Amino acid sequence: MNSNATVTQRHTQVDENEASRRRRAIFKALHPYMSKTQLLEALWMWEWDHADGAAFELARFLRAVCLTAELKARQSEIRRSLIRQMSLPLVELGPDPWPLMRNYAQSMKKEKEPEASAPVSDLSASSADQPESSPGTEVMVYVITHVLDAMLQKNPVYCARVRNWVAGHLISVAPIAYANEFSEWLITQSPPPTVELAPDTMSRIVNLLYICGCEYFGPVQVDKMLHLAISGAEALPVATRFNPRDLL
Amino acid sequence: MILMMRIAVVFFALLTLLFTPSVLYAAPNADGLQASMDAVWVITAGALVFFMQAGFAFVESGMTRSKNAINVIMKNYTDVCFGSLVFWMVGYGLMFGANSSGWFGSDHFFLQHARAEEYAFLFFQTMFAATAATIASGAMAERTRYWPYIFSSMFTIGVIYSLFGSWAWGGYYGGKGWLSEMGFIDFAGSTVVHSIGGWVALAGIIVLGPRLGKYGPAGEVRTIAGHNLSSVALGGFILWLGWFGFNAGSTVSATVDIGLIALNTHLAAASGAVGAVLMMAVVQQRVLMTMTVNGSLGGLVGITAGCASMAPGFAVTTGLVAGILVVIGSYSLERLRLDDVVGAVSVHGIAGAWGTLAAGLFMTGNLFNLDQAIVQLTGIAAAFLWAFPLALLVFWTIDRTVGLRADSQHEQRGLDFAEHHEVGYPEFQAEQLHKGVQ
Repeated sequence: MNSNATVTQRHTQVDENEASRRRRAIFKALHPYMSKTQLLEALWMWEWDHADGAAFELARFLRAVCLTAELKARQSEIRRSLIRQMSLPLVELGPDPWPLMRNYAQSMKKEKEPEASAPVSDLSASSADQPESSPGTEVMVYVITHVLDAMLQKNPVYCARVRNWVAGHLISVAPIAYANEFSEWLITQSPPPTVELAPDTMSRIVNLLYICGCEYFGPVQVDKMLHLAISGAEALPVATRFNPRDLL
Repeated sequence: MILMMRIAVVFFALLTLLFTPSVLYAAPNADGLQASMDAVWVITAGALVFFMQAGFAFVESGMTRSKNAINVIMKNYTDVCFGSLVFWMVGYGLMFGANSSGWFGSDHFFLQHARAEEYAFLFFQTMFAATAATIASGAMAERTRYWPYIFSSMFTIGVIYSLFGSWAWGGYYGGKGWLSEMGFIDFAGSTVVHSIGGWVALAGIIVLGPRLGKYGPAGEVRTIAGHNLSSVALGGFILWLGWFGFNAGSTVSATVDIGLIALNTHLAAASGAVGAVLMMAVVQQRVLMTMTVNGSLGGLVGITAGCASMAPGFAVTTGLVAGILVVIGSYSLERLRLDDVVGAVSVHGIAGAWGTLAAGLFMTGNLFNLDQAIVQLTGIAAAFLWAFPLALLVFWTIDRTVGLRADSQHEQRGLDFAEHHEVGYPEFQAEQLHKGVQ
């Protein structure tokens, strides 16, 4: 998906050596605080959205990647570490993480391919092992899963960012316990929550997905994705017990 | 025989009645005839200006997505209704009432008992006020709540438009506006009507912010295509037609001057479209139909100030430059992350400002007069400094109190359903993102 050439094209204001130095500094600074997946997604976010920006982009970048409560609490510490690493001479930084990033992107793409033919992706499949969830939750999980699948087909990196963003903002629309459980499901693909929420709350969650999806994929695309997901949900047996359109 | 005589008498009596109307009705004198013709022309022109509302409705709804088409038409339709009442109640008095200070009119509110020509004048001016108010609706489409928009529209007509109008056109009942006193030329309202509307629209889109997804994560601009571009073209033609009434009707009398005015209006519209097409070709953009329509509208807005006072060649120049400015303005606003759905700020604000300057520069018998240009620039600046900050304050206050921007869920569902519980195209709309009208 992203070749060196593409990335080089994006570095219109920053030369490739400087871009590499910044990637190495970010990798070193964030490494102690994030899992490998989080770190690679953060690096891709840097590459796409912030690499060409001025120095103050660092603050925006940090706000964008520190989504979990733990990372938010340590944001000042991470910022200091990042600034320190950015000012280090080249020899004190580790190797360029670019090969790791490329491998990650390729693995994401490969991971997606078998899913494309499957009727339901891993996210909702994981719900099958769980105690029976309420009809509303089942429909919502189906809809969100299918919208995310559609996003994954378009751009895996953007899809990951949408997932992270929704996970980070769930607390604004759902009770905290549910938000945490739901975030875990979105990010780590753990079993989805089974508790029933009010339709209004569930529609707010779907709307979060819509808002962020619009930014990354455009409103026309997301309208289509959401419509297809709702149409699919309307064909499910559970739709007789919960109208998928109540999520809209 | 007697019967035949009776029939002949009746026949001749009827014949006499038929051919002697002047016996029964007094022949109008020349003044009376002129007054009648003036009234007929002003009312006809006012009706043409009213028809422009249909043009706005077609252009604006065509440029929005199908899920918001009803909402923008509702705004077009009802801002004319609310606005007309507000203009009759306060706007007309503020704008045209006795203006001893030069800053506002002070009588003729709720006009009730007046001379015949005053009614015609009020009718014509009401249509102008409605035009000024409806400009913002397109720029702010697809994410503005209905009632706050209607309130802002009433404020625009009742205060922003009417007070500025009193500076430039005031004094119908005595006195004179301060801009008019300086010699400011704006024959039919490039600034008074269009720039004022454009600057209000600019304030609106700044407070609102862009539609969801208009800009991508790397700042790239996305085109959110309208749902019916054919209706945009039809709306463009309707506006073009209505503009003959808008400009030629501003003579407020049936005179021979309307020939030049109508010709200039047409030439400027045509050259505005040509200017926009050429500009898109020069900057190697695709030649967009929507931008071409906007180019012709920019030409119409541009010529509005000077349509009665410049030669046709200068009308072509005015329109051509206006069309070019519409393209530059639209792309510049997009780069500034200002989401103007229909291009109203460029068409009405920027082209209106240019047209007002052009009216001073290209004035027949007074070409390129620097003093006149300075007066024109003063009027242009006054319009911006009056309308833009005040509208910004109004929109900001609305946003902070009752809320101007539609909820993101409403934006997702579409404002047709969310605000009006109606669906524009139930049979065809492919992606309805709501529960449906029960």
